[in-house]
Order: sequence, then C-alpha cells, then structure tokens
Amino acid sequence: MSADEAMIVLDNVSKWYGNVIGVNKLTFEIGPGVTGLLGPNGAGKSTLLQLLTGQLAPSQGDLRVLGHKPWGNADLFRLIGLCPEQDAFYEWMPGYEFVLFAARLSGFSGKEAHEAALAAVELVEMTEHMGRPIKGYSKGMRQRIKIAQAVVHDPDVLFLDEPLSGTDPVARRHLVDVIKELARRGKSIVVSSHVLHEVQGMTNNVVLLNRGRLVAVGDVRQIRDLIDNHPHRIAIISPEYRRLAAELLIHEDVVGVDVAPKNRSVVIETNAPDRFYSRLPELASRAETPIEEVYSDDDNLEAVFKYLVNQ
Amino acid sequence: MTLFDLKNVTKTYGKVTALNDLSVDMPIGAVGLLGPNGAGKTTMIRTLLGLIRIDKGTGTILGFDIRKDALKIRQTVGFVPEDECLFPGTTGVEFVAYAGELAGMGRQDAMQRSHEVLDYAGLSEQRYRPVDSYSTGMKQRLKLAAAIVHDPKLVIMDEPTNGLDPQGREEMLELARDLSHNKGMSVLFSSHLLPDVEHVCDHIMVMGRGKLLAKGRIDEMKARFESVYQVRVKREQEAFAHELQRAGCRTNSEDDALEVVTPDGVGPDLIWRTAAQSGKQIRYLRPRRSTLEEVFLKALED
Amino acid sequence: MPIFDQGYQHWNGTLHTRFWRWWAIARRGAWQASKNRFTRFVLFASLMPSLALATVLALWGLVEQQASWAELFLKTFGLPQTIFSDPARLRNVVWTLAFHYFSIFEFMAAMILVLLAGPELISQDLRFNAMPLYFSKPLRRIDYFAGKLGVIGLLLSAVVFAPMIIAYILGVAFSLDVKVVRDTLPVLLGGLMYGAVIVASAGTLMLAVSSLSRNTRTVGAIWIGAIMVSQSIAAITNETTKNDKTRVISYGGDLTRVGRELLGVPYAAQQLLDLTDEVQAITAHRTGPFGIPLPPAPPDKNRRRAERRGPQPQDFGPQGRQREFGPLFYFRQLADDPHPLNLSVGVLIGVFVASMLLLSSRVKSLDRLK
Repeated sequence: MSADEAMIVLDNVSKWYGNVIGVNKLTFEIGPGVTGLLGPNGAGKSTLLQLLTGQLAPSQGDLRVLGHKPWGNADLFRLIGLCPEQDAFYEWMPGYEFVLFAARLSGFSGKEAHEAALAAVELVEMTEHMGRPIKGYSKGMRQRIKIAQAVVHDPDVLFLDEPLSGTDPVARRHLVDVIKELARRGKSIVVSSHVLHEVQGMTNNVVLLNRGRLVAVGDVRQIRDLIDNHPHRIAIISPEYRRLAAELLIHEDVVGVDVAPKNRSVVIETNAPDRFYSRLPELASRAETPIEEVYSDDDNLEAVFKYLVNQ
Repeated sequence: MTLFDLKNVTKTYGKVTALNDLSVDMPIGAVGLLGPNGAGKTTMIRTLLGLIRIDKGTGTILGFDIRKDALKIRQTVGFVPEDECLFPGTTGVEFVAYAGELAGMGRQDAMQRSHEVLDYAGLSEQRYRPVDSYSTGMKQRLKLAAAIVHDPKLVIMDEPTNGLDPQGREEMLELARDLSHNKGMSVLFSSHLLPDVEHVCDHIMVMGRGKLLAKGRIDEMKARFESVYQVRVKREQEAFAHELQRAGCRTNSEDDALEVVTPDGVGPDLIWRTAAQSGKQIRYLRPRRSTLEEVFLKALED
Repeated sequence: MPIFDQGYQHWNGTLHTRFWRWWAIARRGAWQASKNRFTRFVLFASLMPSLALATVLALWGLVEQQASWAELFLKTFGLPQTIFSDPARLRNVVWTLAFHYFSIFEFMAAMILVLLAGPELISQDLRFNAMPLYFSKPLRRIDYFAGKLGVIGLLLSAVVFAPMIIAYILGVAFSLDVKVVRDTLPVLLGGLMYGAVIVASAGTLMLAVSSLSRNTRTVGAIWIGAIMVSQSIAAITNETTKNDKTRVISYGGDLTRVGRELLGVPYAAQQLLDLTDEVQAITAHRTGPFGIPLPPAPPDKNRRRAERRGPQPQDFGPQGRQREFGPLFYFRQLADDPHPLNLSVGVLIGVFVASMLLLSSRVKSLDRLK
C-alpha cells in the first residue's frame, strides 16, 4: 500500500519484559479496511495491541499510529478506539450512560456527547436496552456496549479484541455488518480473534504472529500461493472421479491422491496449482469426465494458519 | 433410539418464562443445541440434568424420568460447564479422580479411570502437574475428562471452545467428534459458533424464547438450490460473468465469488465449457447450499 | 488379540449411593487442609495436652493402686490418710477435672483449627466457581454440606476424639480396677459428645460464614470477630447489669458451658467441695485439698463486725453455704456455674438453625446454578 495510505506503521518494534520477549522485530503496515490479527496463545497479540494503544512503550523500534507515537500520547485517543477483551464496566451504570461517559472522556461535551452516544448505541442496536444497568446485560449485550463506547468518538483507527465473544449468531451477523460498514467508511479496523472463520468472514487481510514474531502479513490467498513447500489440496467431485484422477495423475506436478468413495471425490495434491487448474475446463467439457464440483479446502484461513504456526 | 424426549415442558422463574410448552425429541448421536441468548438453552440443559423442578410437562432422558430419577440421570450424564471451575492446588489426576468419586466411583476405580481418561484427552504429559499451570486448552480438555470419567452415555458440553486458540479449538472439536462418532457416547453440543456445531454434530435443534423452532439432520436442513452454483475464477471475473450471461445464465456478484444460475435442466458443464472457450481458470465451483447460519436465521424468523 | 486398543474404553463398575459422597468430600478437604503448615503445627502442638491428660490419668491410676511412691506423692500435697485409704472416692473428681482442663486446651486448639481450615471450605468453591462441578454430579446439597462439615470433623478427630479415647484407655490400663470403667465412662462419653457439639455448632457456623464471601481471609476475620465481639459484649453487660443471663451472649461461653455440663464438671466440683468440708472437719487445719492453704481466719474485730452486720446476700451461694473467697472460689464457680445452661443450649440451637438457613440460601439451590 502507498505510504500515505498506511495508518499503522511498525518498524523493527520489539518489547521485552525482563528476559521474556513479548514481540520481536515486527515490521509491517496496516491500512484502511479490516485486518485480522491472529496467532496462538502467547504469540504476542495482546502485547502488540497494548503497544498500538499506548499502554506500553516499545523497548526498541519505531511505532506510529496515524503518524503519531501512541506512548504517552493522550491526544491520540481521540483518533483511536479500543474494545478490550475483558469486561471492565461500572455495573450499576445504564448502557447509555456508559457510552456517554466514554464520549465525554474523548472530549465531547453537552449536546454533542449526547448525540454521539445515541448514535453509537443505535449503531450496535442497543437502543432498546440502553436505559437498563449493565449488570443485567447478557454477554452479547455487553460486547455491543463495549463496541459502542469504542466508536462513539468516530475514531479513524479501531482496535477490537475478541469482539464477537459470547454473542449469538444473530448479534454476530449484525456486528460483522457494522464492522464492515465502518471499514467502508475508510477506517482501519484491527480485529484480534481466535475464531478464524469469523475473521475470514470479515476480511482476507491478516497479520499472523507466532512466538512474538511476525509470520505472515497480507491477503490469505496470496500467502497461500507463497507457501511453496506445501502442496495444494484440491477436491474434485464427479461421478467419474477415478477416471479423472487417472487423467490428472499423468502430470508431474501431481504428488498425491486421496480417494473418498463415499463422496465420489478425489483430493489431488499438486505443487503447481496454476497449471493444474488450467487443465480442468477442458477435461470437464469432455463427456466422459464431467466435473460436478471443484474446491480447495486448503486456501482458507484455518489451513494457512495451521500450516504456518506448525512450522 | 431416543436420547431425550420432552413433552410440553414449562418452567418459569417469576415473570420470566424460560421454557414455554417445549416438546422435542432427539435421537442418540451428536446433537447441536442452538439458539439466541435468552432462548432458554441453559434452562434446557439444567432440565436435562435433572437439576430443575419443572412446572408442567413430562420428559425422559436416556430412559430416565426427569422428574423422578434426577440422581440416576446424573450418574449417566456428564457435564462440561462453560466457565472456569477448577480449584487450585490439585494435580490433573487428583482432580479427575475426585470428579469420579463425586459421581460415586470408589477411590481405586476413580484413580484408574482418571489415568485412562487423561490419556484419551491428550493430557498424559501434564497429569501430575497442578491444574493452575495448565493452558486454557488443557483446562477445557481437563473438564471434559472430568465429565466422562464415570463413562456416561451422554456428555453435555456448554460452549466448549470458548476462549480457545485455533489449535485448542481443533483438539476439543476432534475429541467431541471422536466421542460421538466412534466411541458410542452421545454429545449434546451447545454453542454459538455454528461451524463448530457443524464439525461435530449431525442433528441440531434450534430454540427461541423457550420454544423449539426447528430440528433435524443438518444435511437435510441445508437446502439444495437447483441450478445455482458459486463460482470463482482466477482473473477477470467480470468478463467471465458476461460470457456466462451470453451463454444464457444469470449471474450475481457476491464478495469475491459469482453466483451463477444456469438455465433449467442445465448442469455445471455449461460453466466449464464457457471457461474452456474463454480460457478462464475456474478455482471454485460448488452448488449453492445454505449455510448453517442461514438455516439458523431462517428458523428464527419463523 | 496381541494388539490392544489404546483408545477410550468404556467402564462398567459399580457406583456407590450418594450416602457415601460426603466421605469423599470430607477426605479430600481434610487432606487439603493438612497441607497448610499452620494446621499441621496446631495438630502437632495439640498432642501436648493429650500427653498431659494421659499422664495425669495414668498417675492417678497408680495412686489408686496404692503404689508406695504414689503415697509419697500424696503426702507432698498434704492429703490426709483417710483419702489415701480409699482413693476411689476421688476417682470421679480427678478424672472429671482432668478431662475438664484438657478440654479447655482442646477447645482452643479446636477453634484455631476451625479458623485455619474452615474459611476456605465454601468460600474457595464460590471463588473458583466449583459449584457446577459438584452439582452436575449425582449428589444433593445436603451431601455437599455434610462432606464439608466432615472436613472439620476429621480434623477435630485428631485433636479431640482420638486423644480422649487413647488417654482414657491408658488411664483404665493403669488402674487395674474394672469398676473404673463404670465410674468414669460417662466422662469419656461426655467428652466425646462435647467434641461432637463443637463440630456441629462451630462447624456449621463456620460453613455459614464461609458461604458469605469469596475471600478466605474475610471469612476468617468475620468468624473470629463475631466470636470475640460476642464475648466482649457478654462480659461488659454482665459486669454492668450483674445479670447472669447476659453471659449467654458469648458464643464461646455457651459452648464451654455445655461442654462442662456434658463432662459432669459441676457435679464433680460439688463433690470436691463436700470432700473439702469433710477434710476440714477431720483435720481442723486450714488447708484445703492438694495442700493449698486457705486464707488465715479473720481477726476478731472483722468477725465481730461481720456478726453485727449479719449475713449479707452475697455471702450465700445456692447451697445456702457461706462463700469462701480464695482458691476454693474457683471450684465454687464450677459447682454453682452461674452461666445458665438452658439458655446456652437455646442459643446454640438457634445459631445452628440460623447457620443452616444462611447456608442453604447462599449456596444457591440447584435450580439457579451459576
């Protein structure tokens, strides 16, 4: 992405806690849109989020959000929003009051704060419950209020830590739409989550950490293509699956075949997906080798993650 | 064989009706329990464990009457709670053995089973270490081990993948799937994460506001759409869409894939031929099926 | 055949009824409690009074056998020969008083143990949310409470029950007189019942307080605080109003009062006082039993003044006898025990009922798990 598009820039950032390393030499950029921040437990995701939101100072390297250093920079908080993983509410406060409080903390006052709070609460569809104290909220409702307080001041960069935890599929669908809508407005939204299929539903752009180091950054499919050593697994379903397998096996880039008679499918492993795919339309057009379905269960986020983390 | 069979079960807490004339029966095997927050899933689980005295209705679970055989039910049912529930200062084996003793096993039996079950759950390396030192994934598997130590016929799992990282989730789901498909134990899997439910379960039931909204086999509930396919090509998807339209199909762009509707009675070979002619590389072609999420949302609308 | 299935195997053993469940809970709780250094120290230190009790009883057994050095022992204490010739008369007194002093120490040890091991019993389960773990198993709340109470019971077995039984057996062994058992068995039984009352009363109170908070230290503070406060209030109101009924405000006082009654201490103390009068009549020396010298006879002018004043109400005890101030006062207190018994029993029963009610409301009914 172009230099002026990048909203978050890290250059050789490291953070140590005594002997324990939190993150190690991270260098990458994040632009507008939704970006998934992924990694196993202990990968450094929370450390990274804390660095980006100014709760920690980097031990080494240069870190900028919207051009400013986050550490000790209270002004930056007007431009960024954080929805943390833990619940840290004033349980007795009604939801609306809590969001209003957040608005005031960000510098809004009076009527502006009131309108902003109302808008935020409406965005997360909590208008119906905003008068009740948070103590009585379900987990999903708490999540929505947390998101509301993170967006009430219309920040340009948003950090969401496990935003969908505890939400039921209805609320989840809706929140994903909200996140996508905010992304469309040009904001940069960093979503840290363990639930890979949720992240995949929001974006293809990911930052993958493991053991404090950067493993991969970018579009999932591009990352997949770059993984050379790992053959692509492509599934083909056809009434003539065995004949298809035989036809395809002739070529040198095919290195493995798994047969699944129950599904009338074969899963072919190939080192050259490009060449492989280009053979299919011609084959499928022949009467004796029709193809009903073709897909790769391999270039989704979970497969890529699993492969990269287990290196 | 029925797993459980509830008839007209009603339970109210003060003004709130948690279960509203609920009637449902499910077969043994892997059953998913779905529903929005407040649908009554927790109350349903407690009813199945015999922990609740219901106001009206009858029910059986594994042949036991939920009103009268509460203790016998809990001898053949295991429960994996959602939240943390481990006390400090115990080792893994001790914890699971204690759970076994609480279920009524003798000390020796409980200890023996504890080792076996921890092996199965993949915690054999850690079993002598204190449970406080376990990672979240290990703790979840420990809870599962404690739930199956007395060899129940049904294990109820409440949001078992909550807070787990991808590897932990995979391990947990594999265990659940193995138990229900290969080891003859039924599993009732309550979760908001629909792909998890799909991975483990064959049947689902959807609850809403204390009632049953839908139930059935997952693959039967996911409707097949005739002549509708999802297609993805490597490059120039727009151009391909035009080619298909010229060949008589209707196309619709969604996200980064194309939804293609072929003329009646025509199969995917039309799409392949169009691709062969225009030199396009099809990377994905599958008939459109509703996702479990769509099934769920549709059930809620009704 | 040669390759055995390593995977999950089914289990076909028997499951015990829920009536044994409390034992598993009690055993585990006692095991966990004894891991604490202080608890182990108290358990160990409470052996001392037990040894002392055993020694006293054994010695008395020797006295009864009239062994020659036992005669020397008596002469040192200034006991007249009459007693020496028939020590069996003093048997009940000595055994009862020996158990009484032992019970004072063991009461303290027991309360300390309850304070060390008790608070975490329920508050820890609340803090770590272990309730779903318990109540998803085939047991009822009463089994859970019985198990937790059993933890206290097991610990107190080590400081109260076992030492008493062992000391008793030693004492009987050294007496070589079968009639000993007839005379002194009530004392042992009384002592064991006292222990049971402590477990039931202090135990349930501790469980109830333990269910109030998730913080173990808070629970300990509340429990010890409540007991000390009740004791202070009782002492203060007793001093100011001079009404003995106010003594029952003190929880500890009520417990020890019931204990004394169970051991038969008032009766034994009365016996002792009767014996003292006898001895005084015989010896006309102003020494009481065990050679404790009584205060000198009041000088004439005091006596004349006392005679002029006439008998005052405070000179009369329940027996109508003139009170004597000094060491015998202590035994008079034991015999006439001003702490009301029936009210004490009433208070203990009330506390027990209140504890059970509190417990059953704090440990949420199975309906509302979580």
